[in-house]
Amino acid sequence: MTIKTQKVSLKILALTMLCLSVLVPSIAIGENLGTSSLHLGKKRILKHGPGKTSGPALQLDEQGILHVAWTEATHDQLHINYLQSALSEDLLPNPIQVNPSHQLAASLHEPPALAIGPQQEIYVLWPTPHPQAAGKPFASVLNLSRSMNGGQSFLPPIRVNDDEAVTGHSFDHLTTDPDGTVHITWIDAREGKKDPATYTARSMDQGSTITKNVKIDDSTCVCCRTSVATNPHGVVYVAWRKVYSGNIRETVMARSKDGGQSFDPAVIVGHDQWVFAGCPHRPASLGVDGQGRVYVAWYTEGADETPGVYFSTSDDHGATFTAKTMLNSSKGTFPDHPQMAVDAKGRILVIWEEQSPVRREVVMRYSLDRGQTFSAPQKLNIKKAHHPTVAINHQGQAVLAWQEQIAFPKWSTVLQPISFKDHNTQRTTTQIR
Amino acid sequence: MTRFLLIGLLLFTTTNSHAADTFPSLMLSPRDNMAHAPAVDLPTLSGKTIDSKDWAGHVVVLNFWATWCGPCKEEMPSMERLYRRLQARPFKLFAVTSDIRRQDIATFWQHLDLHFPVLLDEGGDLAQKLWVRTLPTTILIGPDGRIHGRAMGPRDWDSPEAVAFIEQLMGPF
Repeated sequence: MTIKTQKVSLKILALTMLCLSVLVPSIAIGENLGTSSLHLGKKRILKHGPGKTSGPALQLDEQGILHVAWTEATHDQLHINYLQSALSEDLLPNPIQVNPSHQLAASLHEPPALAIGPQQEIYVLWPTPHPQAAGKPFASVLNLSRSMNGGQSFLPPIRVNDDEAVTGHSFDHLTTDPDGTVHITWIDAREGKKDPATYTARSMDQGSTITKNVKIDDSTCVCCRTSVATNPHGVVYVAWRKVYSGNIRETVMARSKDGGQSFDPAVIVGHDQWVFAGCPHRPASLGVDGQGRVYVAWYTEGADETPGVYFSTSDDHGATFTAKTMLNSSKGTFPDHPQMAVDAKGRILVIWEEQSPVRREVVMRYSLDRGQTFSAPQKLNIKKAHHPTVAINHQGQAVLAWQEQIAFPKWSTVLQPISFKDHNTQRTTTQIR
Repeated sequence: MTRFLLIGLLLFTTTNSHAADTFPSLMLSPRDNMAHAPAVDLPTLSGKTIDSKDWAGHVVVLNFWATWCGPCKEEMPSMERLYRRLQARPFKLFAVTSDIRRQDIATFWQHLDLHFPVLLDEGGDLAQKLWVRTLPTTILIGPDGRIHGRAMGPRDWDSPEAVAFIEQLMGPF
């Protein structure tokens, strides 16, 4: 490389670094937005063993107990790990293994699904390789395991899918409603069609048995995880990515007014018109507040194939949605993998990745006024980071989590507590609509 | 490092395609046409190490996939046919995956009767450098080391048009 070329390269480097530095403008933590403010707590680091891990699954119960589950590779076997810890504790306990040794996880590309019931029962859901797979790709069985002793141990899993097809039953999610019913959703290829279907089932006895599987809809995008949420009155919402004619991929949502027994037809959320024949591998994220407003955050590339993280709400149980708003504002990176949590007051945390060829950041925006306004994006990581997620309870507590390469080349899980403080001062922040 | 930053800038500033325009059914994205491909130094499933320094003068196809990606499976047979058809030419074809379970990959390969090499990008660094955000994504690199096309989603890789595109990149035979 000549000196002249080096100078040009250094100029470009400087310009690039300048661009990168403005991608994620910081905000003053504690800035007043609406009638609350937000405070970041002390980060806690969850170090993993030598094997690779999935991203974290996260829940925060009403007692302020943090629940974390993940998949970890140990000697080429994939196990599900779980731990819990009070937010006030500095030290994290050793994890326990959720799965029996003959019921391994099927993959590392996404974490197990995790939910907490109203009686403090803990549910973990994961696909395990189908026992008759014999090398057939994608063949899995969906397992639900539960802890009835506060996370000290987990009972042997029960099988969720009620078919015998040696095919895929994965990209799963679950939640519990106020009555304690467990709602499970997944992508199911049992019919052998090119595009699989979105299925649901329930457990009404704390995970002892599973109801008959119900197909919600056909033509599901094959590897975007499903998402399920309920409102305070037991209305069930399921979101997934649906394939329309011409390979148009739309994030859709369907609701059930009978507790998950049947679902209304799916409604398109953002009308993205994204044409793509492959695997986006990016789920929508759902939330519902105490007044019943439904919130959706999702990734799409739209008709112009430009990656974006979008947000929309519905005040009529998902019959219609507001015009979508883009949450990412960076230039020179692309946003990815949004996850969202919403509390009863409609306080919203959205976390996602910003990627470039040399950087991988985790950023957050929050809203304290039911999505009317959002804070500026705030970078959370120091080293290279990915796989963000977020959980919130109704006590004004929340936790963000992501994986960060704190001690290269190993990845750790970073847990970032957040608390909301109610007060009366108001100040406007970024108006997004 | 500077090289990667330059690649990043080029990916977002280069908008003109050239050869891809003459092969519309391949639907190659023009976004990163003519950007320099990053250096590659990765192990294969069979235990070799692949260094992109050895690619000079070759057309190189990098097909990013995963064992859990159904559409990736769709195009694999045509990739295999392309590999068999051109393997005696200045042509290299690699499947690239960040899956870490080698036995699963080997089983997948055996199940589909595939023979082209698999590069193990376990940390996903190569995928990140090349802005691979969906699967399958296929990157076509010319003998000059520059990116001449990007296909997002499955294609029929031994179609006359795909073969003609690759042969055009190879230059006179």
